[in-house]
Amino acid sequence: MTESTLKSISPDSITGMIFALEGMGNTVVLLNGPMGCRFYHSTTSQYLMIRPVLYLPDGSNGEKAPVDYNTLNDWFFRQERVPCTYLDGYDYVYSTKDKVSAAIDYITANIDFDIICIINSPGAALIGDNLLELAREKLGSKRVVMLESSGYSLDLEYGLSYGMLSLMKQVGAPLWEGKKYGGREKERRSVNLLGPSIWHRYIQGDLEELRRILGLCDIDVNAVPCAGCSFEEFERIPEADLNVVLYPESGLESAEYLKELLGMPYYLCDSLPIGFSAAEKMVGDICSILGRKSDVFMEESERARALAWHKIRDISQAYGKPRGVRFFVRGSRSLEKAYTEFLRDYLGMELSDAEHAELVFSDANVISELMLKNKTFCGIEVSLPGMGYTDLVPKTHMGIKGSLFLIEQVLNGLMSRI
Amino acid sequence: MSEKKLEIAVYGKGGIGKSTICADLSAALAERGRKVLQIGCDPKHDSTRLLMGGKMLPTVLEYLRDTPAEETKLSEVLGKGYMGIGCIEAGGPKPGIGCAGRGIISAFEYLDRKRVKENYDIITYDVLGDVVCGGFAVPIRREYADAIFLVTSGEFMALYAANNILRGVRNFDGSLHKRVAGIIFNRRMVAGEEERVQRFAEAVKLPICAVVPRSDLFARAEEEKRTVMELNIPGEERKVFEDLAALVDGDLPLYEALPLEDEELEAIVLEGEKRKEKQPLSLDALKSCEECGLCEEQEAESPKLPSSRLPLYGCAFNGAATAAVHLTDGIVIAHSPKSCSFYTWQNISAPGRRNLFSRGILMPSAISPNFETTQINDHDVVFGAIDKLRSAVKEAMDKRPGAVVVISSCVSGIIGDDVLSAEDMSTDDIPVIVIPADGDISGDYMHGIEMCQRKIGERLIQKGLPKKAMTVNLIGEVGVNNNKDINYETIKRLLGDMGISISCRFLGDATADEIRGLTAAPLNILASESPDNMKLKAWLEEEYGCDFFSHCLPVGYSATEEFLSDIAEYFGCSEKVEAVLEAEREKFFSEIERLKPLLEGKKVVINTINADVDWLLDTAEKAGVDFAWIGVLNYLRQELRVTSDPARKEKIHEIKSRDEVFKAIEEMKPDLVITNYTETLKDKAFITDSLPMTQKVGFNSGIDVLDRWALLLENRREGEWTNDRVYFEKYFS
Repeated sequence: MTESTLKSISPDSITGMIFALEGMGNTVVLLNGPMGCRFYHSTTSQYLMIRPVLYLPDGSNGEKAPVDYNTLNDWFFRQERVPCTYLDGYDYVYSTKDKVSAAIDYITANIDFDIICIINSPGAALIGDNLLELAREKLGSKRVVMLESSGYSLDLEYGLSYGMLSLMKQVGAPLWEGKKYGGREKERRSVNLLGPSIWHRYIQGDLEELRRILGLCDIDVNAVPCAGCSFEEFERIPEADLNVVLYPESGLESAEYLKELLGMPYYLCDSLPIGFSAAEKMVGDICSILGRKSDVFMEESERARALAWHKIRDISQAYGKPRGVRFFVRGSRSLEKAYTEFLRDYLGMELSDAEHAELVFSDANVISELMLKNKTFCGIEVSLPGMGYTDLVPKTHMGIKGSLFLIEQVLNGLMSRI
Repeated sequence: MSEKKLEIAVYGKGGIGKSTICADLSAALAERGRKVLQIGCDPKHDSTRLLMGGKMLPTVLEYLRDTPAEETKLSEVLGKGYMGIGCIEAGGPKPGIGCAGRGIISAFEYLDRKRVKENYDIITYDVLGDVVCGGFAVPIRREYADAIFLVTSGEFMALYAANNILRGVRNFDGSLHKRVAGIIFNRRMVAGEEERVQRFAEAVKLPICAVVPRSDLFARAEEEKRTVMELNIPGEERKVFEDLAALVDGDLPLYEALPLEDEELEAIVLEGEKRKEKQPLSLDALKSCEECGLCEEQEAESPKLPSSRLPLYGCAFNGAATAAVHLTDGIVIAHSPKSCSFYTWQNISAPGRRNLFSRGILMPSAISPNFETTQINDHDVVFGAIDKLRSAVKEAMDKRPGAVVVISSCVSGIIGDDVLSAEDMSTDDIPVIVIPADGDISGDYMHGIEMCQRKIGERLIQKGLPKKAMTVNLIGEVGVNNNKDINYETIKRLLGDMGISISCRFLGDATADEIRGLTAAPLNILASESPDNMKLKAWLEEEYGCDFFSHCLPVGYSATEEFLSDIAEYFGCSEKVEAVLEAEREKFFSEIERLKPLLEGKKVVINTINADVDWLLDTAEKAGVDFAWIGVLNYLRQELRVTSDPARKEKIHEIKSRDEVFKAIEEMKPDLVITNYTETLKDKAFITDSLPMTQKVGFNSGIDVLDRWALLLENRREGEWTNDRVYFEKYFS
C-alpha cells in the first residue's frame, strides 16, 4: 500500500480560514453558511483551545457579566464557538443578507468582542451577496474581517494563510496606521511567530517551548497571531524586532505583507525546529540577526543530546535500531520536511511508504486505517484529528523538550517489531 | 484632461450593443490620453474584440482552469489593444452548465490579486445586464464602479433590463449614494423608441447622456474588426463617443438609482403614464388602506423573514452519506468541495477512532468508509463539474462494487450540475444510485438519511421474494452511535442461540445483495421507535409488504425477556427460548441481589428528555430504588414516552425550566438526582449523575447504571476538582 491508497479526507481552506480567525482572542467568527458546515468547526474549536470567557456588552459599574451559553440560542445553538446563519435553499435564491444582518444585530447586542469575522461558506460564496457593504453599514467602526470566498477544495494551509493575511489587511493595517516597526532601543529583543495555528496538534506545548528556548537567549515572543493571540498582542505586532516564519505555507504571505506595510524584516525557518539540529539552527540564526547570545540554549541542547545518546545507544546495542527503521510521515509540507529530516539524519531511519513503515507519523485517521489493515507498526500523532487522547500537560515535538519527547516516542514505538 | 481615477460599469441587455459602445467609449477616452483598461464581463467574451483588431483573448476563467495557480501570469490574459488600451475578458461557462455569476467573482478575485488596475486610470466594465445574480452585480459594488451607464434601446425588454440594473444599484446604495451616470440610448429605429426611452429616463430621473445613431458605420467597423473611433471618420458617430468621453473625463454628474416597480414600468413605458410621486401616508390614507385589504395580500407575497423558517440541523448531504457508507460493498461518491466531504468523513470516523482508542474495537465502515469525493474546485463551480463526476463514477465502477452511490452537495446543486444523469451509467450488475441531496437545499441531516434509505431501497430491494425461514432483518440502525456494533453483536448472539439469523441490516452494514434479498426475511425488527424509523417502517410495509415485529430492539431485562419470548413464539421455537432466558435470568437476579443492600430504599429524582426510561426504572425498582419524582423536558410537545407503567406515570411532571427540578429536589430530599444540570446544583446533600446518552441492548442495560449508582452512593465523593471552578474563572477570564 502506498500513501495514495490512504483514503481519509483532509480538511480544506474553509477550515483553515475559520481556525486562523478562531485563533484570535475575544473574536467572534460568524459563518454565513448552512448548519452542516458549522458543527465540526464549533465542536473542534471549543476543544482545541481553552478560551477566556466571553462577556456581555455594556456591563454596569464597569463590571461585565459573562455570557451564559445555555441562553445563547439564536445563531449559536448553545455552542459558544462559530455562530452561523443556518442557510437553506431559500437563502441561496433570495440572498443571505437578511440573516447575516440579523445575526450581526444579535451578536453585537449579546457579546462584547474585539473583532468580528464573517466567512462565506462555499455555497454562500456562489451567490455574490455584497456582505462587506452590509458589514460596514451594520458595524460602523467595529473591527471586521470579511472573507467573501472560503475557496473550493483549496489546501488547509491556503486557508490559514489567507485568514491571517486578511486579518492583517482588514484589521491590522488601519490599527497600525502611522506606526513603524522598531525605532526604539530595548533591553530585550522580541519576535512575532508567524504560521502556527490552533489547528496544530501540539500548539500549546509548541508555543511554550519556543517561548522558553528563545527566552534562554533573552528574546521574548511578542505575538503569535492566529494561535491564541489576544487583541492587545495583535495590536503590538509592530513592536517586535523580527517576524519568524515557522510555517511558510501559512505564515510567509503575512510576513511579506508586514514587510511591505511596516518595513518589518522576517526570518524564514529552513525547517520547523523539530529535532536538535533544526532547533539549534533556528535559535542560532535568530540570535545572530538580533545580536543575542545562544550559549545557555546551546548548553541545554548539548545536555539533551547527551541524554538522548545514552538512551538511543541502549536500544541500538540491543536491537540495532533505530538505524534502518522504516518510517512514514503525513502532514503539512513543513511538518513532513521537518520530521523526515530529523528521523532520517539524526536517527538514521529510512523514509518508506505507509505499508512498510514501522513508525507512522500522521493524524489518527491514517493510523486507524492502517490498524484496520492489520499492519504491525506504531502510530505517533503529529497532526489532527487525534485518536481521542485528552492532553492536560502540553506536549511538543519542537525545541529541546520536544526533541526529547519525540525520541522517547520513537524508542518506545520501536518495540512494536522488536 | 482630468487625472482622476475612475471605474465605469456599462450595463445593458444582451445584444443591445453595449460591447460596441463600451469599446468605443474606451477608445475615445484613450484618444484623450487616458490609460484605459476594459474588462469584458460577459460569458460571450467578445467585449474587447474590436479593440484588439479582431483577436479573441483567452479568458481569465479558461486560463485559470488550465494553469496551476502558482504559474499564472497576468500577461497571459491581458491584451494590449488600440491606443494601448488594456483588454481583459473574464469569460464564463457554456450555456446551461456551471455558474457564470460565480465566474465573474472568480475572475475579479484573480485580477485583484494581480493588482491589474494599478497601471490604469480608467477602467471600463462591459457587463451583461440580463442576469441579476450577485456575481454579475459585482462590478456595480462600490469597491468597483464609481459610475454606471445603462445602455438601452427603445424596446421594452431592453428598458426592463435597464430598470433591473437600477434595482441592483439601489440594493447596494439605498438612498445614500449617487452612482448612476445616466442612459446611453442606442437607436434601433423602431417606432416610438425615442418617446419610450424619454419617458423611462424622466421616470427614473436620469439624463440621456448619449444617443448612438443607427448607422452602417458600425457594421463597417465590425467588418474591419475595429471600433468606430479607430476608423476615424468624422461624423455624428464619432462625435457621440468624443462627447461621452469628454463627459466622463470632466465633472461627471451622478444620480441616485430610482428603479420603477414592474407595473409602473409597463404603464410608463408602454402606456405613457407619468410616474406617481410616493408621498408619506396620511392617517386617512392608512385607514382606507386597512379597508381595502390590499396590504394584507402584499404581505402574504413578501419574502419570509429568517426567523419564520426553522433551522435545519445538519444537512441532507451529510445524513445521506453517513447512511450510504453502510452499503459495505458500495462506493459512495460525494459530489462536493473537499470541505463537505471532510466534515462527513469526520462524522463517520469519529466513533471509529473513539472505539479503537478506548475499547480496542475495529469498526471497518467507520474507520475506512468507502467514501470518495470529486473535490469540486474553483474552476468547476464556474464551468460545471458533471464531467468530473462522470469520470469519478467510471473509475468507481471499474473497481466492480456492488453499487455506486452519488450524493450532491449544495455547491453542485447551486451551479446546476445534472447529477441525476449519472444514473444512466448504471450497468446490469452495478447500479448507480444518485441521491440529489444538494447539501441542505433538500433538507436536514435526518432527511438525508431518509432520502438515502428510500433511494437505495427503491433501486435494490426486490419485491415478493420467497421467504427464508428463521431469518430476520434489522431495520433503522443508522446514526452516530458508539454502541451500534455492540448492540448488533448482542442481538445477533441472543437470536443465534435460538437458531434465528439476521439476513440484512437496512441500513446498517449490508451488501447490495443482502439489501436485494430483504423481502426474503419473514420478519423485520425495528432498531428503535424514533419518528424517522416509524416512517421507514410504514414505507417498507406499504411498498414491499414487509412484516414488522411488535417490539423494537430491547433495552433492559423485562423488554429483552418479552422480546425473546415473543420472537420465539413467532418462529415456533419456544422450546429454545426457555434455556436462553433461564441462563440470563440467573445472571440478572444475582446482580440485583448484590445491588439491593446498596440501593434499597434510596430516593431518586430523575430529570430526563422525553425518551423511554422504563428499561432503567424497571431494573432499579427491582433493586428497591424509590423513584420519587420524574421530570420530563418535552421540547417537541409530543406524547410522553418516558414510561408505559401506569403507576410510574403518576410521578411524571412535564417541566419547562430548571427551577422546577430544583423545587422538586428541595421537597423530595432525594439521595440521588439524575440530571444533566449537575454543575448548577451546589451545596447539596445528595449525589448527582447523568443518564447515558446511548443505551446498550439486552438484559443488563440497567445493571451497568445501577452498579455506578451504588458506587456513587457508597463513597459519596464528588471529587475536590469540583471546587476549582473558581480558579478557572480567576485565570481564564
